Amino acid sequence: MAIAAITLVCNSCTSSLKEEAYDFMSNDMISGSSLTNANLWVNGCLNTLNGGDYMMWGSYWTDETQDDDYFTGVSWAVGTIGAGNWYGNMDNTWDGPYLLINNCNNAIPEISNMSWGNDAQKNNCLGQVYFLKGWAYFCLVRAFGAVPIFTKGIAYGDSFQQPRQPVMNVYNYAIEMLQKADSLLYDAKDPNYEVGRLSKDAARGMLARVYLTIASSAMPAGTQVKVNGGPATNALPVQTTYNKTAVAGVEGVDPKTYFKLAEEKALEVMNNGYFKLLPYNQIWGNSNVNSKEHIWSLQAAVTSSLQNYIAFNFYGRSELDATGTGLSGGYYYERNHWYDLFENQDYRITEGVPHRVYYYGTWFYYPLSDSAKVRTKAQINNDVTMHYAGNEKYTKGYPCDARLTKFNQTSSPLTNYGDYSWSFLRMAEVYLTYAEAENELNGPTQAAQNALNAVRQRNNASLYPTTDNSVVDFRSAVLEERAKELSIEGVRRWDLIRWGIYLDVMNAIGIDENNLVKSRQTKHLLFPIPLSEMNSNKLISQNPGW
Amino acid sequence: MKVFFIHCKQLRIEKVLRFRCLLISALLLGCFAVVDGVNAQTINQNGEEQAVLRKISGTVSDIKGEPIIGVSIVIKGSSQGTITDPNGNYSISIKGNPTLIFSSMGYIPQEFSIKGHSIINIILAESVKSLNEVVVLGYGSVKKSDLTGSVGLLKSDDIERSEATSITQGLEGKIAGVQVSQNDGAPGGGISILVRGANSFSTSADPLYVVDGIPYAAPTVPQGTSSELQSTNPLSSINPEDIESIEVLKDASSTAIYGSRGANGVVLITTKSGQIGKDKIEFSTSLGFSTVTKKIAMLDGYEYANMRNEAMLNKYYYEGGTYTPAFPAVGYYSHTSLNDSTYNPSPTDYKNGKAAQTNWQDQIFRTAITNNYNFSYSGGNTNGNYLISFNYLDQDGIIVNSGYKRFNINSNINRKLRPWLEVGTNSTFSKTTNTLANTSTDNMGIVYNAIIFTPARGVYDPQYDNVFQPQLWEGASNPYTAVRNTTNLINGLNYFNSSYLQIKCFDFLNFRQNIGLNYSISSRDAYYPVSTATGQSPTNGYAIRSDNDYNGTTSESMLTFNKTFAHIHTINAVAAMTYEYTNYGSHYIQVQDFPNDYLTYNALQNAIAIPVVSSGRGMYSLMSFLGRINYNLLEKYLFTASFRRDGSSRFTPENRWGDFSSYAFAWRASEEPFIKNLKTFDNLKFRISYGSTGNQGISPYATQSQLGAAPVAVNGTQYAGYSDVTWSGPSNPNLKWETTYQFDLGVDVGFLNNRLNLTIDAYQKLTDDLLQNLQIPSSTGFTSMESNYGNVTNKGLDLAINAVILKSPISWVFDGNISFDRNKIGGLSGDQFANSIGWDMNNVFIERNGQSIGAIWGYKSDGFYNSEAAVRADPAYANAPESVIMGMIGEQRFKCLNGNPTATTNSTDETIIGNTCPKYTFGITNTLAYKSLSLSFFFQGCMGNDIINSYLYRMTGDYGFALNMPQSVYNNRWVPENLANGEYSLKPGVNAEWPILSSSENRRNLFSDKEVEDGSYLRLKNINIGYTFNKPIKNINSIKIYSNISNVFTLTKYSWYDPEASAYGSDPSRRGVDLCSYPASRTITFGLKCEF
Repeated sequence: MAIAAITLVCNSCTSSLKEEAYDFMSNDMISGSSLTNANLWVNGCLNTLNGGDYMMWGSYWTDETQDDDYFTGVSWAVGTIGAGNWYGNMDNTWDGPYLLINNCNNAIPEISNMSWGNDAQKNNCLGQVYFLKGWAYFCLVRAFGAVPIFTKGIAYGDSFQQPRQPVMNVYNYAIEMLQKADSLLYDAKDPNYEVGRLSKDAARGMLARVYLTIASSAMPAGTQVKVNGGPATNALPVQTTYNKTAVAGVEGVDPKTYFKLAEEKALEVMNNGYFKLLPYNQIWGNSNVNSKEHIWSLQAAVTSSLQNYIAFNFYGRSELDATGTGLSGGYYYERNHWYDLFENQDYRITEGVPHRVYYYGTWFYYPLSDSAKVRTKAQINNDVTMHYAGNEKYTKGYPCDARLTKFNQTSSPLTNYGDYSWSFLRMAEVYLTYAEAENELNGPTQAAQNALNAVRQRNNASLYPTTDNSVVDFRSAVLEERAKELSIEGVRRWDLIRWGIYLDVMNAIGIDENNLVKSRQTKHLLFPIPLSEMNSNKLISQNPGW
Repeated sequence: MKVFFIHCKQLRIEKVLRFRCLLISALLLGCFAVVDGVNAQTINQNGEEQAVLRKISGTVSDIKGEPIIGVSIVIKGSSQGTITDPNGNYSISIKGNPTLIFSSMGYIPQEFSIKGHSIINIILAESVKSLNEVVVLGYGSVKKSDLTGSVGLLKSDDIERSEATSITQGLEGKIAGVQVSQNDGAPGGGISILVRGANSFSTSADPLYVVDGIPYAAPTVPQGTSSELQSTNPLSSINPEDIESIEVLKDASSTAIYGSRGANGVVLITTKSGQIGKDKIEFSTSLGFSTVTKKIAMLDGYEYANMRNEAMLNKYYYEGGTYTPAFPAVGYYSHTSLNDSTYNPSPTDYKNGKAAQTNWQDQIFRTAITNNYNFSYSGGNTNGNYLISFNYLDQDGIIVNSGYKRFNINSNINRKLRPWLEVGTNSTFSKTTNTLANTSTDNMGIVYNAIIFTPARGVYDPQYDNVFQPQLWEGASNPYTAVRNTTNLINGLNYFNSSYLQIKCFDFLNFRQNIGLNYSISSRDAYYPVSTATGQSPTNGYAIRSDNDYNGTTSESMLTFNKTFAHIHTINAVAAMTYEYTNYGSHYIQVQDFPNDYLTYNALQNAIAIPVVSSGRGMYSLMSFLGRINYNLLEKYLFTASFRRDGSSRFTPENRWGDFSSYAFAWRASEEPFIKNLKTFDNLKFRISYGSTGNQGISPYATQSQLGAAPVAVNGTQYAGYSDVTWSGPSNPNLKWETTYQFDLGVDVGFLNNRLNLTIDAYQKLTDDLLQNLQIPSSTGFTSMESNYGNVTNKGLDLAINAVILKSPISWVFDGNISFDRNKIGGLSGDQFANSIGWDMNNVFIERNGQSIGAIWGYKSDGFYNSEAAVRADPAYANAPESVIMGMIGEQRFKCLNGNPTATTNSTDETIIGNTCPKYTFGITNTLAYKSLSLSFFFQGCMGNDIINSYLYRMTGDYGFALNMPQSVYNNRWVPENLANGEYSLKPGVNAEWPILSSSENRRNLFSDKEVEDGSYLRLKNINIGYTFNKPIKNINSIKIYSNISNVFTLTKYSWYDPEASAYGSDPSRRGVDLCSYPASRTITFGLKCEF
């Protein structure tokens, strides 16, 4: 009997000690073949973009935007990354893409193993994941240079410790992923395409961006670029001609090959015709989220895990509310020199920058050059209902600054957290990519000028002059147009870097009008690798100077 | 029965199967035993019929001749017996000439062979520290003299004397090798216990608590706001007055029987049960008054105003810009609008009383009152006993709006149903309420708030306090209103039951079935109105309702064998099978945006914002087979061997089962004739033991990969999604036990008629395959992974001394203990860091081979940059812009340790700057008595440990901005030469301890040795004085009145409130952190205890 008891007990051991899970999902629960399950994996990857390592609290948007010649802000809010104090402050720029890559590496085999009889659907799912993985590697390589590549992910056998791969290997891997996405994703014109998701055009636009980055980086040292800027003490920006320095990692690459590829991909998107340049008043604002100007945007919502702090930080809330304290937030903005790049009638400053703001009992105006308008109680912008009251004040810096109304795009303007849809890729960039590539390949042809002017025209700017039309001038004009059009969209720093003029342009400013240190050293060409990675990855080395 | 098994097997419903099978196995063993037990009884009865009955009577008294009530008199070798009446008389019927055993609690038992006597009067000697004291071990008990392991013992008297409101508090400083630390000074606040040093740095260092044989646990504190770290003490729901004794098992010989959970030591708690004799009624009450032991001297209004102005001036002087003093040189009324008549005070206005100032510590601290009531009745006879007790404790905290309440009912009933069958049940129900103050937080804790808040204003300022308006950019709020307006309650309901059935199969064989139930639920009700930082507009009120539940079931089936062979071989053995199943869960609801502050957490549906809701559930189970054998040869040579095989659900089937065993030998040298002949030792025993124990203290499900909800909103439409839960790390199916191998060498010595007793234990522990969160490269998508990795060695010495210095008429007993522990990390492939402290202090604790757990990592301060030339002379600033150089004057300089002076100070300049492990800890208790008067005082302390003072870190970051600062910092700040002769001159720069005051935003806040302080202390923990009236009036047996003072004084260099603070108490890798903790209090208690 005792033996029977013991046998029985032992038989029940296995079940008695089974670990039963109640509150989390495991892979096998969603590995069955169906569009629903495949989408669960895809969405899990997309969700990474909304998370804390990217958009929620601001890592992507702080790290990608704060380090350029035209950006500034309230010094305590931007004084670390904006001032070049990066060590320990750029960790999420590393962690975020790698988190996304891990999620993609989990999703790819899961979706690949499925089959529900509709290959187009399955391909579209895979295409989205490949796109994100490619994009993540592109973000990494331009920020950190040579970085480790995880082709499978640790759950599928990749070693925990990976060495750096040469810069061009990473670019090529990113291109490979984006090309897969290009071949797998739905065309946006396909009736099955879901607005807000990635499309073939997004993959092509992103490929164009990658090719352009490689091409311009590979341009020989000494290539000239003109930039309007200089010491912050100058009332107005001054044009200076800079000579390109060589960009590390792309040695031996033929720039023309890649400009050609960039032009082709940009043209494919332009010719497809689904996404297009829209009139200025149809680009921003809550009703224009996912409009045809925006090829790829963050998909945010006011749900806790999908909201972000972007609108609050870049624009602020309760701007016109004179009952409370008025403006709060809006700590990040563009410098006066950026504002002065524009012609007076350009919508991007008349509409794109708020001119009147209420702050703790007082109305303020911006810019200083509007003082005559204030005195005459003139109309602000093109809005006949908005006029200066005449008692507005001006102070140097916050709240009298060039904040951008493009960031006033949230369905909940009164809360700090909102559903701002960050634009990752816009049609304007595709046009300007085409213009830049065409100029480098064939000079400032009519086609190149048309592409540039398409952007200028819709902003009420004058057309690019056909006189004074050298390759250098056109190149400089396109770069300046990018700075104006794509302001604080995570573009400017990378433009300076890829054209090898970053250090010279930044050091020409010194300390800006908000006491933000703009001077940079060689080490700032690459971001520092986080301490946690340095500590635990024996195969990695720190970027020079950090 | 066979059919039933098959049926059972066929059910294939796992849960049903699991419990049913266990029940069957228990019943089976039971039936088996019952059958044998009945047989045994029959034989006995047959035997008894042959003898003739006669009567024996007598009186039992103590040495003073006082009769002793309730002495048990048992005929040796039988279960027959009687007890003495209130006059000490007894009578008993016997057959033949048996031996009688006289025994009573607190006396040395005596055996008396009758040999024809009919009147036997016995005098029993008191057994103070008697060697015949029974020591409870896991799954059994032994005579103290037969102990082979190292066990620390605390009796109810010792616990009562410390007037502790919780058991764990009562343990502090009382047992060698047991380090007790309060995480927080809050009433009912968390306490952690470390037995013989930390074995590991990732798993919890808490020992296993076993109450009346059943493992005891409680749920963790339900989730509150993200920055709240307060912990509560799970054992605080047990009333210390209900405790009979506490045993702490320290060495592997005693802990190995607890196998996979014994590595951190085992605390066995035995509750009181009724005594044989007259029914007893006891009532006790006490009233305590607590005050904060220390306040920090902060700047007053005048000094604060000057400090702000100086900071502004320094910034202007060194960095340019315009100088606008925070406080004008001459006060004036501002008239920015028609109705505005705000007065802008000058610094001197705070001196002459023209402007209001506030010491905020005075506004949040108070004299707190504690009420404690206990009521119990108990009794028993040879057939059983009972005890029922009630306790009500209402303890206010010294911070306004904080406190602890406990209501507790305890009943303990034991009954002999048949001579061979005994049953018992012991249950405790308690309801506790913790009213939390926001302390132990990395954010805006109330104590921190009171420290930094501007003193230059009144307690209530309508400009700011009508609606919430932060007055400091950090978001600090008026401490007076913040502490009063917040509600933060933790309500606990706890039911604990330990029941048993015991069958005597033979004289030498017992079967026992234990069943334990441990059910508790702990819930949080929190509300932060609009007048607080958390609930301010646009949040508009912030409410949390959350709960954690915990449900544990234990079944233990044991066979105990006890027999002496040939008078010289005694074997005591136990074999058991146990199964534990624990299920836990949680709910969390958080809402905000209330129309007003009326309904709070009681009606969450009134909130406008979308609620944040989450819940969770999990389980774990443990199955064990265990055995122990004690072999006693000639009462001189003692051998113990134990074995346990554990299976845990937390591991994969491949690594599930672990074996743990231990071996011990003790030699009672004092029983050898050649030692006896020395006539020096009353007791001399040498002990040696070796064994292994385990730790399965990882979170359940670490071997399973987890996917978490990751939704998206595509063009406004929300879809579900899933991705890896990154905080739990990648799953590691290879996880296994962490194993501790311990070697212990001990000696027990008694001299001078046992008036001097000494116990010395030396030990060495090696914990291998540490279960820890290994940092992995973040390029994997994760930052850490649970894994078995590295080892920790602890070497130490425990010393305990007990001396009866005086015996009469004044008795004076001295109890002292001191413990040394050194621990060392090994087997890591590289440095690791413990989790951050708060949200911004990263990499503060380093884990490095050859270093001990608790090594502090940071920068070494190296004076100040005293002049512009000094900054320029530093190669790191050779090419720095003018503004940077000027900004560095008067700033802290750090030692360059990376050999690269041209680089500005960075993480490669960090080094080990301290250690939170004490060199030794000690406790000294003196107990004096003269007739009915008793006095005891208890010292306790530790030496050689460091404390991380997070207050200083946080303050130096912003110092010169708007935060108030301690006078000790202000008086030792760096003062520039040009000001040295002016109004602010106090110290020339060269003698400074703290940097220049500056409202510049460019200071880098680096964690350095400036924020690490010596945490050594000696504390007169309490003084207790009592007087007992014996039989003062009819029907009252005794009345005792007493008074107790706790935390009388503390000698320490630590500059802040309490050197005992350890915010992350149970995390061994982050001990010794003062995270704006709840300060310790000094309590004076008056008490009364009556026995009827």
